[in-house]
Amino acid sequence: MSVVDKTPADGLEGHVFASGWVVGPRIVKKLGASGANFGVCYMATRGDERAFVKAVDFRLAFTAPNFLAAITELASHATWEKDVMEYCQQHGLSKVVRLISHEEVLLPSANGDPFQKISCLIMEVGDGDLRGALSAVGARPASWMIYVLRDIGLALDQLHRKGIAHLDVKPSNVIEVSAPGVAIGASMKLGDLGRVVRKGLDGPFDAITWPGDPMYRPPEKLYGFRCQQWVDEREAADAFLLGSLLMFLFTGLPMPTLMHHQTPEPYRTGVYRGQFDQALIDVLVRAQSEVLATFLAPTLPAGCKSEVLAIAAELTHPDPRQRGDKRARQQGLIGIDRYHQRFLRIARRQEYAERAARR
Amino acid sequence: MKQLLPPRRLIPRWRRVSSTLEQPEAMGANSDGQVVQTATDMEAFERSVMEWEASPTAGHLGDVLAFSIASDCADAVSEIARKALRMPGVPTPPQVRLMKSLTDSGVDDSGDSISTLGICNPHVQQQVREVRQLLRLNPANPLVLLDFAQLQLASGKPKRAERALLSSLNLSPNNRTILRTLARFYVHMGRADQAHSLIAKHERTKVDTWLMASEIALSQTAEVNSRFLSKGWKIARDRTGRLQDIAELAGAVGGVELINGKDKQARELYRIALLQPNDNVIAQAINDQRRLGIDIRQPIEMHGAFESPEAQVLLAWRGLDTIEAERNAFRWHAEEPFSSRPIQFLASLFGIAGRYEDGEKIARRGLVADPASGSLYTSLAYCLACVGKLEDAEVTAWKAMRLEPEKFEPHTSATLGLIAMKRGEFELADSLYLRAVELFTGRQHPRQAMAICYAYYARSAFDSGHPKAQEILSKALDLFKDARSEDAALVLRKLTEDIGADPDEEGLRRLYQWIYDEENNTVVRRDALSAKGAPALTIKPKRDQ
Repeated sequence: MSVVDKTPADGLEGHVFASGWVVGPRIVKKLGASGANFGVCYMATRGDERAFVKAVDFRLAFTAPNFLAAITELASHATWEKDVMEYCQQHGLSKVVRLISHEEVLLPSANGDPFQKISCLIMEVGDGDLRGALSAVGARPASWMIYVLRDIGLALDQLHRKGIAHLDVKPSNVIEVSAPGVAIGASMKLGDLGRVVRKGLDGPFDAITWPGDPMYRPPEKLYGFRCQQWVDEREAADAFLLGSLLMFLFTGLPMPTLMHHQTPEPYRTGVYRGQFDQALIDVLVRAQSEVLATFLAPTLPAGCKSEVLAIAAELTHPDPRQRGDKRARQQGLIGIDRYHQRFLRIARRQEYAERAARR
Repeated sequence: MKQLLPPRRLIPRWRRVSSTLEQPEAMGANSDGQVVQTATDMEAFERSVMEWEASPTAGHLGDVLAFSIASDCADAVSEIARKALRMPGVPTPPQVRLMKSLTDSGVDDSGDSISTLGICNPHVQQQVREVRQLLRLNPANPLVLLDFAQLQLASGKPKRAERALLSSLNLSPNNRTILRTLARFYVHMGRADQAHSLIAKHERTKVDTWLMASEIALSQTAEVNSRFLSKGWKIARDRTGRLQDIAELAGAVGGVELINGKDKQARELYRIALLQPNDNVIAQAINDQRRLGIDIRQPIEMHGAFESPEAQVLLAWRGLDTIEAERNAFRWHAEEPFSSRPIQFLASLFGIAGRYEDGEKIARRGLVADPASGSLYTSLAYCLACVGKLEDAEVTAWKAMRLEPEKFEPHTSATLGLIAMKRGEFELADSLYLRAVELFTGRQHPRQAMAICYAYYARSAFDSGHPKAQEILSKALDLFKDARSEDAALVLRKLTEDIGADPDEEGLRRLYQWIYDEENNTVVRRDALSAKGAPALTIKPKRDQ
């Protein structure tokens, strides 16, 4: 069996796509050998425009212990992400990072060998992600943070209306996109659709309890619990991630981290041996309240404290069956649409208050 | 005086929820499933660290700190936290707070300065504010409602406490912790029959050993027959279930056997209970130790539960260590601010130490939460008399007697004797004290009660310059030698140097022994009660060839 050190995707720098994009230097190290993370990333330019390129080739899959399974997995994940991004682009989901084009490349160095073909996703690039935007304490005003939540809430609403659950909302996937002419707002988009599940469509992650980042998953997924209904199983998870993003913006910490450290040790994952039952939920509800009171409340401005706290409490409720807007829940929905509208109102009000304070 | 307290039963304890959730009794019904584990993506962690080092922003730091929930990254995250704490202006205040907890460099601001003695406990008031804040965030918070109820009760608002408890039960009707807590509340309110009925009739009790244990103990308090005694007895005897889940059950059944005079069966049941006891079982075992005759300090496994404040108070009291007893009584009081038991210990300690004003304050605080406590009125009356507030003392002493005439008549008589002593009316004082001693003869442990009464008689005689003080002291010492008790010892120690702690380690039975087998050169542990005074290790000699 031959050992592959370098793949064709490593040599894309300088290549010019048919669409005119010129590949620049590689921007991240090659990721690991697991299927869905497999890819090499570059920046690309086309005149004044910039883009992000994710290049996937399959040669490295041959080094996996079971190369047929690795090939299959890699192919399904790559196709899945491409198809979702194309779908989002076709349906005008404005708050999701846009797919510019998908191209397959055979470099001259391949000498016509079709097995060295590279699949490239060329995507909209931002000015960085949310982690960089929170450079230090007080770097951004509260209104900006709430605008971010509005943008991501809207992104999730757009996705959910199309039967797509993101399941990987985290600061590194919230991209700051320059929006010329936009005087207010945060101009954030939601990126990385590599882990989505789709209602009514079979996908590579359907059977996985939690396809997203394990460090950000909702409490019911920490304990291996699954709901029967799509709304409770997937949309409620996205709602939690939105609530966790709220926590991250104001405290610098995601909700699962805070909940973990506030939960008594006998109930933490890795120790707890019971079911995800009412007794556990009662403990988690208590931990949630303590987190909100201790960590979030002191960071909120007085003018929007009670509203933001209430939203945080609803979005991060430990029981997925109770998560979401109370009125929407009566109709069996999460109510993500209500949240981004509330965020917009609160953000505008807070922005006016901040301007008045500066005068 | 500890003697004033009602007999201790193994009814549920009502601690702060944060303490209770660390106990095995709070775990769910199915606590023997598999642990859910997920392998950490170390490459993602390394990438996150790399990005933080390249761009040390609060946002990148938060991404790294997200890995603090993974046990295999804990050390690395702690190291990063230490470095980040030295970068002012970058970490957010919540990040700083978390990082301090990860690196143990934070100051515990939980506020353990509980030795303020105002009637209104400032710590209770502060805690009420904090709990209200939690309930504003989410009123449907069953466990927080338990803490709220406890604090309301400690503040003298039992109706609010009951409403909170009933709301909690409504939100989570099958929660064991809530059921036990509500039962404990009913006992505190003098409604033991209601407490028993709540547990006995609940459908969960027949399959839940903790609730079964509560039902059995509550049946004793309510003086009714237990529905689950025989079932509980079988479970304890056969050790059906995890040892930690049957500890209270075995203890509760053991308590019944003790009352019925079946000491041998009681000892065996307590031995099972002490294999993996909780703090409640430990405290009960210390309380009953003299009767059981077992050495409960032996097993190392008990160390965790041994640290509970109530157990430490009982042990310190037994060892006549008033400093440790006071320190732990305050800890106990912080854990159960509504309960008059720790307050009674404190009032006694202050009375013995001559800190009568402190004794008055703490007794008054106890009466806020438990206004029907004759014990506290008796202690209060004693302290008032000792500081010269004789009229107030007299009124208070009569209050105790009106609450439970039969129980507190001797105590009231003794207090009136003290008042007469303070007024210099020695003949009247003598007759009142002797009347009190006579009334104790018809009680449980009469010789001990008489000895305690005489000890206080002797003390008040010396304090007041009674011409026959020495004679009274001699009589007190004679009675004490015949019927030792810590209450009497602590009082008499102030008058004579001959009083020491009771050396109770001799003649106790061990819960287990080590057997060294010379033949096989092995040491095995034999889990059975030993004979009285048996050594920790015995040798099984080689067989003669």
